[in-house]
Amino acid sequence: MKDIRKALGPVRRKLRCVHLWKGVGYGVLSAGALFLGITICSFIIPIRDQAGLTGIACSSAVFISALVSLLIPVNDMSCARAADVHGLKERAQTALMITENSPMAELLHSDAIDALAQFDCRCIRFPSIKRHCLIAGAAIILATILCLVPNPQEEVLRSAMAFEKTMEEASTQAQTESEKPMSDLSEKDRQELRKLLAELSREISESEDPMDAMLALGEAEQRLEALRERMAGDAVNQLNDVLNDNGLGALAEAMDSGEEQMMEEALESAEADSLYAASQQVSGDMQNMLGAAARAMQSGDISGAAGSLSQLQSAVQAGNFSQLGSASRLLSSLRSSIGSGGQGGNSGGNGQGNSIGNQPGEGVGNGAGPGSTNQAQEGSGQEQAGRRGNADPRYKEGEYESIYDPTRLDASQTEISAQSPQGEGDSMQAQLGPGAGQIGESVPYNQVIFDYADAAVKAADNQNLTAQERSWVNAYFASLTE
Amino acid sequence: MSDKKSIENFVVRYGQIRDEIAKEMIGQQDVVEHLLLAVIAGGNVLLEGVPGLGKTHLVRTLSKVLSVPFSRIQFTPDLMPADITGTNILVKTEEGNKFQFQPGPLFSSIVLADEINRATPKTQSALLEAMQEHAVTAGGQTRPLDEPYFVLATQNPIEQEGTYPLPEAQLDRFMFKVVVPFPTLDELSEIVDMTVKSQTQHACAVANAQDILEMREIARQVPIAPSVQEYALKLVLATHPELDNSPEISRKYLRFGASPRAAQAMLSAARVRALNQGRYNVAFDDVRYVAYATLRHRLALNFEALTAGEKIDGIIGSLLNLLSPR
Repeated sequence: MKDIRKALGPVRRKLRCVHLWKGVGYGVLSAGALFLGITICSFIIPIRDQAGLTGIACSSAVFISALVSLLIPVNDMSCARAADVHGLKERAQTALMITENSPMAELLHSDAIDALAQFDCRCIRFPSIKRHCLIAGAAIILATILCLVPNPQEEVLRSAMAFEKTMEEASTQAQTESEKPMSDLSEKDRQELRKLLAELSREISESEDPMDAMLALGEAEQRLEALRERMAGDAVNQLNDVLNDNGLGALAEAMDSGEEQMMEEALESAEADSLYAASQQVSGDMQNMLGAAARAMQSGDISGAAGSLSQLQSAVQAGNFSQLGSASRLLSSLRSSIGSGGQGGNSGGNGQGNSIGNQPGEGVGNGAGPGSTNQAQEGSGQEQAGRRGNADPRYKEGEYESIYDPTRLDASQTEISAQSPQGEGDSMQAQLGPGAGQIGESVPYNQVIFDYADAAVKAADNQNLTAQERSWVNAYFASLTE
Repeated sequence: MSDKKSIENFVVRYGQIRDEIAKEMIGQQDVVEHLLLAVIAGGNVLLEGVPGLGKTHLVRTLSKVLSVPFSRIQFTPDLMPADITGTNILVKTEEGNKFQFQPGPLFSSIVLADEINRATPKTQSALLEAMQEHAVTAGGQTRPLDEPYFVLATQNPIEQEGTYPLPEAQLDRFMFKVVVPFPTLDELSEIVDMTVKSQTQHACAVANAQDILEMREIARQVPIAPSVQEYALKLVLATHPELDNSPEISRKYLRFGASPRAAQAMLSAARVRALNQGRYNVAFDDVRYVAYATLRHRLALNFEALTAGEKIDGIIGSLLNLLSPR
């Protein structure tokens, strides 16, 4: 029996090759079917990197099919049958079956081994895979033709990629902001602000849709506001302590009252050196402003010194720290860019403005807003927002309801202007016109709710509302857009 | 159990017998082949052919080559069973008159039943026991026949008037039904020449009864692969029109199918043919080769087949093509 199995070795090897060849045939067939299937699916669901996916799937199909075919066990009886079919006249399988020791069995084994030794394995021909290749070729041609047909899912893919790019840029901005020196902050405040910005960066990068990013932004704004309030309280206490320590208790009381007249009276009785000494005990913006007041006193400009101190007091009470202001602007900028990116897939329109109260006399301008072009000037922001069509992947066509949207009425541009709440040159002009998504007076609810939410959040930011009130506005529109 | 040398000598002896017969038989190799297969496998043969094709001469030559007793019975309508089995006759002995069994022509090794379909069914049935059990019962006593025992019957397919078609039970006792074809032009020419020339070659005995029995024993030892045996059995089952899974052609044209004895006969003959071909195993080709002779007298065409002009060999061929061995 062992001799028979050994004699069947070449047949077994040939059969493995035949199986492999068959597997390749089936693999080619599967690859064609996969190519066609993926192409058809790409019209139903958006598929990223379709070419790469198709390539991997097709090559995997061929490889796996060939591998599975190669691993199919080839038993002795299969080999014997294959040899018998090709001229051995059932010698091999009968010899394999007979296990008894009789003269007839011995002769049969001997005869079968001789026949197998002379057997030419080339007569076991490879099966034709022409039909498989033809079917696969037809599928590939059909899929190629389908690829030439405009695919509605490509626009969805482009929007999704633009959204991801926006999120990535926003995340990078937040990360960059968190890595700034923040020298005017205490170690504790610096760590808290860095942690806040780092977490914001991470949450934005992990967000799957604009709402997630907006929620993360809202939470970050709340935490920033809480930080601002705590820092303002600490700064007021520190200022009072420093003034009292330098014999300027009257000035401290006058500054608490907030009246410039009382400050001037207190300054007249105070010494410039004391004020200068006090300025050296503080740091950052507070040091600069106290130093400016001391210099004004030394030059005899009491009213100027009082003005500086008044501005310092108001800035400290309002928590207008340059680093926090920078972070606040960043959050506002991110909100605008994410809002516009979620709608139109265009992240252009990052605003540019000055820090709140950083330098005396500088106004506050916020030029952030959605739009493909954005022109911002110092102290004022002017933007032209060309609204894009519906590109958010969550939007679904067909969910229409009549809703009045004045920005989409006709092709004429409507110019609106809004007064910024504080500072000079604070006008904001926006030219709003119909975008690609204009479809007359009926627009999908889903398209406009984000605009409304974005506008409301921006308005809340500009209206000097408290953090709680802004949070309320944010939560309200967040619930509407969920 | 036969030794290797005897098995290897099988082909030689078989070839010798065939060659000796060929000395006196012009052509008809296929008939001779089937005849030898049946003799060695232990079966009986029904030869069908027009008169003058050498059927009787073939059997006579066979008995000469095998050097076994031969008897010929010319079947006629008035032939009685006792005429072929033998009968008790009153003989005068020293001890007085007494009945003594006088063996009939069945008591021989090779029996030629010439034009068997001319005898009455009663006489035909007298052959049944001899053909199947190799024994004869006469006068209440069963007497065994010498081995090897071989009945070769002939029938004329043309003259049907005044004949008695063999009953299915008796047909089933024949291992083969061999159709003797008309000689080809060359063969006929050679036969004609032989009648005017002095015959130079005569068949002589190259084997004996013991050799035949030994060859029969060797043939029984030839193994059959399960797939080959299954193929033969499926072929037999496919001839049964009453079975649910029988082929369409069987259901359409056959009245009844082959008996289990057909499967036995097919595999026995296939074994002999395998050895004859120099193989020690039965192949599909062996089964296919003996299928026609084994089945053609065991299948009955129905009226539709007869009206459609279908032939039994054509149906067997269709079944063989339908049942692919692999």
